[in-house]
Parts: sequence; structure tokens; C-alpha cells
Amino acid sequence: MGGEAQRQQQFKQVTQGTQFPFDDLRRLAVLKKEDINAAETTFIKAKASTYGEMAYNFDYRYYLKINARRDANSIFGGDRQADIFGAIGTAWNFSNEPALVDRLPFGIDYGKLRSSYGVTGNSRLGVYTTNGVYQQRFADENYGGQLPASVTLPANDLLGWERKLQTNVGLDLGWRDGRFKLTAEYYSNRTIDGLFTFDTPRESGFTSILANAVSLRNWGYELTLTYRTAQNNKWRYSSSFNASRNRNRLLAISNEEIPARGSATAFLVGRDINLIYGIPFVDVNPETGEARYRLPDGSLTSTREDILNPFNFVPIGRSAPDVYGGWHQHLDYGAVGLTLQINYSYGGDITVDRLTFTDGQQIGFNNQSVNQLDRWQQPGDIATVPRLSVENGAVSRSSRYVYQNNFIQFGSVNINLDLTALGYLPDNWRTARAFVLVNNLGYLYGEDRRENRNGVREYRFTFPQQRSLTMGLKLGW
Amino acid sequence: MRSIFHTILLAGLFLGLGSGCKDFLNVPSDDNLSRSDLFSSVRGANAAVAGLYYQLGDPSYYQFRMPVYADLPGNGHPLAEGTGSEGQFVGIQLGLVSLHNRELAPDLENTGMPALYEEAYSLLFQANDVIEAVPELTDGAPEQLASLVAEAQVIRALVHFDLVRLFAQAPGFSANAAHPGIILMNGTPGIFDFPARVSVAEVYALIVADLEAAAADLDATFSQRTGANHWLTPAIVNGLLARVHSYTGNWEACREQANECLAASGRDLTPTTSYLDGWKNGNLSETLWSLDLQRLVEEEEDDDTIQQTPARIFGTGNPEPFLEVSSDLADLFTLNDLRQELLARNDDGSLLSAKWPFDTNQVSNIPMLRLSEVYLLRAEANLETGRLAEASADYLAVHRRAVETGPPPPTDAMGLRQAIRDERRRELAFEGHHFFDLGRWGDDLIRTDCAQVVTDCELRYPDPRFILPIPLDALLNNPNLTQNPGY
Repeated sequence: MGGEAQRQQQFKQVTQGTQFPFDDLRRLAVLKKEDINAAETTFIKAKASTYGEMAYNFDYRYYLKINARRDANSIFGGDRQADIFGAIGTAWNFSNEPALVDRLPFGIDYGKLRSSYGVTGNSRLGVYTTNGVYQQRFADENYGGQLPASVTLPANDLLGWERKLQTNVGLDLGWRDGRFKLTAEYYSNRTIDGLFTFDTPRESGFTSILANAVSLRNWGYELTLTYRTAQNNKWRYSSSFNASRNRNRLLAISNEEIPARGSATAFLVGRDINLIYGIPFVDVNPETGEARYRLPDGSLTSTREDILNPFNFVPIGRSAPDVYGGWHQHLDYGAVGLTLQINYSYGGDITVDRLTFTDGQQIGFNNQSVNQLDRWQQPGDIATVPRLSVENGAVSRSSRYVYQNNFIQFGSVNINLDLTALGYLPDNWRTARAFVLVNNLGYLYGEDRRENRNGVREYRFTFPQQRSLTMGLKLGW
Repeated sequence: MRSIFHTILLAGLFLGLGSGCKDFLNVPSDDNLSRSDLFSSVRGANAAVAGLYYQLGDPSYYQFRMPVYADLPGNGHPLAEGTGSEGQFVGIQLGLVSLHNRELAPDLENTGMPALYEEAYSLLFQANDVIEAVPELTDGAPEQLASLVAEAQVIRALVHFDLVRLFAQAPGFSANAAHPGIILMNGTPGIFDFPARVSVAEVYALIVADLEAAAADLDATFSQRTGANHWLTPAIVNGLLARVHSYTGNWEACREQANECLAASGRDLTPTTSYLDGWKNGNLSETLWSLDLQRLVEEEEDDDTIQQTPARIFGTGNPEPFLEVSSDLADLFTLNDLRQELLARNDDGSLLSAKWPFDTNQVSNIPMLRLSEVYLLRAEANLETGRLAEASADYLAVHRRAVETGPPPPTDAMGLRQAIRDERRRELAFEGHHFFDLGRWGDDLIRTDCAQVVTDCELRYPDPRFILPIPLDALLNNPNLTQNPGY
């Protein structure tokens, strides 16, 4: 149990001088007044918390843990400065149950079932956002010799803590003295009073405002498998593989948001917030060479106004993957150690920045993708790429720019050599290790692609991702 | 088990304790001012009011396009060639040309009008904040607080007036001005409010109410913070009221307010002898109110900054203007008209306006109201209320200053009305009146200087193109906002 009060105060003062008459004498006193510049910033934030925790277990079989805390923060205005959070967790180590010892099926020698439920709070806010903020202008920014103040944020007493209700159920199983382990977990989190920056009616005087007005549910599964060989083997190998799946639904929002221009996301009740919205591209009109898009009523159009109208947008992809995870492996043989990290993702989509290739629509001022070789050229052509154009504005929210993003990434390889163990060095050297580390070896993408054409592999990153090779020697004596 | 109970009890005590920490948690901000701090003293309230004037001169509002918006269709003319690589119009210039041509789509691309819409409502928020907060002040004399509120009311009225002229048809468009106006903001809105448009009649009712309340409370001893004409005075409020009444056709009230303005201003029309110099030097003696933009002028003399101001669009001395003066306007001046001097050609032969002299690192303050307009408003009001002799005298006061000899004004009402309207176009050219005037008169926009590809050289009243579409961006963010017909 404990309490904590914290007050953060920053004061920064910078004085700058120019035009020093003698470079050897860098003192502000020698300068003319107009050659001295001073600036300062201050920042204060206060926080007070009290908390308590209680843990209890009975015979290493039944576990109970309760904790609670009260947090108050100066950045909230009015009477919502404080909120109380807590959690309760229980676990049952059933492999220690006398009736079950050595009687578990499938050779299981360790088993634990656990669950927890908790409320946590989050205050991802800037300072003073609740009181209403005016910016005082200084110096050159005057009006008629007076220093004006302009409003930057409205008073917002509705801001408070964002709360998350977390439920978690897990099962841990172990075989062969824990050398093989399986952990399966299911979680369901509910965010209530979620903080969200809303686009506001322009008539409010502001373009956006932060409010506790979203309710969201996240749920998913996580599976982890680990294996390691016995510690005394000459060969020692360990491996850990995990897979995760996460889903979400927007349960409530004070003001639904359609995908306004420039944004591909929408916040609609009952929908996944990771959906990418846009206009579905269908084909290229064989007569005119114009791209044709599908409107919600099923008809095809090439009219710009309709294509750009957010009310015609439908989901054209989902930015979060269905399954993702990694596989970590480590091998030791005598003095040599080898680590390999692999990451993977399946079922997600990615919107390619239309500026990485102007897509044949503004051929006057940029390089073009090799995919333009497949463009429509004369009436009758059945093409996948529309005709070239000098000044066609981009249709950045269209499925033409959405690509499947299924990949396996060879994340890193690390080779480690223990030189002392090899006996190359005198005994009084404490450590001597050489290592080679390669980060980001490369990606394998799963996509339908044509030979010599660009796809997600080329478009995903504007510039190729950095690959680093590090070699090192670590000596200690 | 007993120790557990103790623990829970103690935890409960601890959790309850936090409420004593309130003062600890109330921290002041030093970088920015919280609203309550700003409105805790007259000094802070003064800064908030100065902020209203400051924001009027924002680049998206009066600094650049707004002062000459109403001159673009009739008094402006696109150049033969644009600044694009192939002589086409691009960017800001393309937007100005589309405002001239009245070929506008709801996205109002390149016109700067969506930004103007946002800025105007941001200004309305702050004006409302001042109106709500200042009466709560415990600091300062009651007269001073009332005067601060009055300044905010005038600016709230002015912004509503600009918005309703830009985005709604003039009051005469329908019987009782019952057609859609704009969204009114007469208070600070709730976070999830979606206001809707009200009728033009309701908008004008609030504008007039604000200005009348302000005329009673505004006290120049408080508002005139410096000697310059950058601050509101009661005379300016009377002049603005006269202008507003001319839009609703309330001519008796227009005449009365013009009279009060002329009496209260304590000034006379700038005489012939100093008229041209006044424009050249930016110190026309009859200007009652101008927005201070001198902050934009850089200290270093050799600075070659080009500011986005009306001079950038078609000011004399500008080697690369965006537009030029239409010959429709130029042809309205007789040869002996002094104001011919306010039109001059640059080296490329483009005809430009000397009301906005252009130079690098130079900015003119924006004239918001001057006496000539008040005289011409009173001339109209006298004419429309059957006082032809007085109308004629007001007309001549402005006309004879520029044209010493010439035919006498027409003696019939129709002829005199046209003479006054033409005089308005000449005298107030490039000060943001012409296109709005056509709307309130219900007059057609006839462009004979129409070499460019314009769909309609003759824009017949009524027509949706007399006003702007509601910006798409605003429509998308407010489900209760409706688009203007025809867009």
C-alpha cells in the first residue's frame, strides 16, 4: 500500500547573443541590446495517487490478488480530476491438486488456469486541455500596439479518464519438466469513455475537439508455444512461436464519422475501426480508357465528383491483419550461439501512398511505375491501368491503391562466438565475445503478381527499408 | 482473515484521502493562458478583444481576399495568360479567376473560401466567449466592461454580415427574407451541437440587434487604445448600421444612422487636394476605421517579402499581378475624373488599382469604413424615401470632389438612382462592395469586357452564382447544414 504525489515543473530559459565584438569574450554584457535574444518556457503538471494491493495464496493451489488505486491529475478540469481503478485476479494451479497429481492426461505435468478482471484508466492528454486555452501573442504579433490573445481550445469540462475494463482467461500447460510449454489466452477489453478527437462542425469555431465519447471492444486470442532442450546438453536449442489474433468493434460514439476527404478510416457503430474505406475500382472502360469505379448502388462511374464523395465510400480493406506473430529460435553449440527471429503477418491490407508513383495520371512531373506498360492505349484495349493523363487529380481513396500485405519477415540473425571458451585467449580475460548481427534480412510476400511489374513488395515502403549489418568484439578483463 | 479486513479498511481510508489534494492539483499554465485566467482582469479581457481585431486581419480573412472579394466578378478581369508553365491559371490565381467567372464547385478549391468560413466561425467563438465572460469580471468599471462587450458585439455582427453576404442570397431574394441564411452563433456552442441555418431575416435581426446594443454601450475613451483609426468608435457602429440597413431596404433607419455617423465622426470628406495623396500614402483622412496590418512589415529594409494582400492581386506597381482591372469599370470614369489617376498600367500593360499600391515588404492597412460610403448610403436612403434634393446633394458631395465640371445629376428618381449606383461603383471600387451591391439591388452582372472563356458574360439576377456554395468541408462535418440550391 502506498501513496504518491508528483509535481513536474519545467523551466527553461535560453539566452542567445550574436555579433560578439571579440570572439574571445563571450559575455552577454559586451553585446548591444538588440543582439541579445531571450526565450523561456515553463510547464507544470501535478499528479496524486494512492494505492493498495493484497495477494493471497492457499497451498500454492489457489491464488487471489486484489489491487486498487485512486489517481488524480491536474490536467483534468472541474470535478473529474480523480478516478478509482482496481483489478482482481484468481488462479488455480490444478497440477498441484492432490487428486490430480500424476493423473493429468496427455502427459501434462504442469497446469494452471487463471483469470483476471480489472479496470484501468488512461489519461493521454496534453496539459490544460480542459480549462479552455488562449494564446497570448507577443512582440511583432500585435494589433495597433496592443498584444492580442486568441482562443486555441474551448473549455471542455467533459474530459476525464478513459477507462478500460479488461477480462482475461488463460491456460498454461507444461510437459517434461517445463521444457515444452503451451500458453493460450483469451482477452476481451472494453474501453468506455474512450478519448477521441472528433471532427467538429466548422461552425463551432474549431475543427476538432477531444472528448470522452467512444466505447470500443477489443478481443482476441494469443497462443504461445515454447520448447527448450535440457540445460546440460551440448546442443542447446530453444524455440518460441506465437500467434495473435485481434478483433475490435465500435460499440458507441457520440458522433459517427464518415471517412472524410483525406482520411480512409471511419468511425461507425458496430464496425471495425481498422477498416479502410474508399471507392472500389472495377476496370478500365475499353472505349475511353477511363478508370471505372463502383458506386454503392452497383452502377459504374468515372465522374470525379462521385468518386471523391465520401458518402460513396465502402470498406475496401482492413489495415490490421487476421493473424500475426513471430518465431524466435536460439541454438547454442559449445562456444557458438545462433539466434534467428522471424515475423509474419497474414490477412491485412495496406494503402500505398499514391505519391510513390503518380500512376500515369500526372505524367508531367514525376517518374512513372513500370506498371504503366499495361495501360489502355486505344479503343478496344482491355487494360488494368487507365489511360495516361497530364493533370488528373489523384483518387487516393480507391482500391487501386490497396494491396494485400501478407508477409514473412526475416527479422534478425545473430551469431555469437565465445572466444574465451575456445581457449584462444589468456585465462585472465574475463569475457571475449565476437558477434555478427544482421537486422531485416528481407521479406517474402505472398501476392499474385505479374513478372516485371510492381506490387506490394515495391510499393510498401517509399524507400527500401534499412538493413543493418553489425559486427562486434566485446572484451573484458 | 482479520488482517485482510484491516488492509481493506486502510485502503479505503487512503482512497478517500485524495479529495484533500484539490489545490495541489490546480496548476496554472505559463505558456498559454487558461480562459479563466485571461478573463480574471480587464487587462486580459482587453487582450481577448484586441485578439478579435487581430483575427479580422487574418490572411484567410481581411488580409487578402475578403476586402476585394466583391470586386472580383465585375471590377476584376483575368489576365491574358496565367502563371502556369503553359500560361494556364494555377493555384491562387486559378481560384481568383473562378471567383471572377463564378464557376464554383462546393470544394471551392484554390479560392481560400473554406478557410475564410473556418476563420469567421473561430472569430465568432471568441467574440461570444468575450460577450459571455466579460460581464462576470469583478475588475474594472461597469462602463468599461460594457464597452468591451460592445466591441465584441460589433465584430460578431460584422462577421455574421460577411458570412450572410457570401453564402446567402440578399434579403430581397424572397418575401420577408425567409430564404436560408447562415448558421448563427449567438453563444458558445456545446461540444456536440449541430446547428442549422436560419433565415436571412433572422440573421439580419441579430446583426442589427448587436450593432444597436453596441452603439449604446461603446465608449471611445476605452476602445480608442491608441490615437490611430484601428479601433471601433460609436460613429463607426452607426456607419456599419447604415450599411446593414441598406441591405434590408430599411431606408429611414439607414438615413438616420448615416446622419448620426456623419455627426459623430467629427470628420469631413477628404478634399480633392489631398485625395490622391491619401490613397498613395495610405492615410486618407476620411477613413473612420482601418485594420492594422503593419506587423507584417519586416524590420529589415532590404527584405523582399511579398505579402498576400489585395495589392498582390491587382495593386499598382505589381510586376506579376493575379488579375487586372476590367475595362467595364475603367470606362465608367470620364476623362476629367480625378479617380482615373487611381488606375495605372504596369510594364506589361496590365491595368491595376492604385488604391492598393504594391511594393515588396509593404502592406496597406485595410480600410473598413470611410465617409464617402456613408455619404453614398445616405444618398441612396434619401432617394428611396423620396428626398430627391438631399439625395442629389449627397451624390454631388462625393461626385464633385472627383469631377469638378460636368452635367448636373438627373432630376428624376430613376436617373438619379442609376447615377448614385454608378458613383458607388466608381468611388468604392476595390473596397469590397460591387458584387454585394448587385445582389442587394437585384441587378444583373453585365460584363462586356469578357474576352476570357466565361460561361455567362451576363449573369442575370436571380442566380445561384450570386452567392458561394457552402464549403464541402463544412457540409461533411455538420449533418444539419444544407447546401445552397444550384450547387
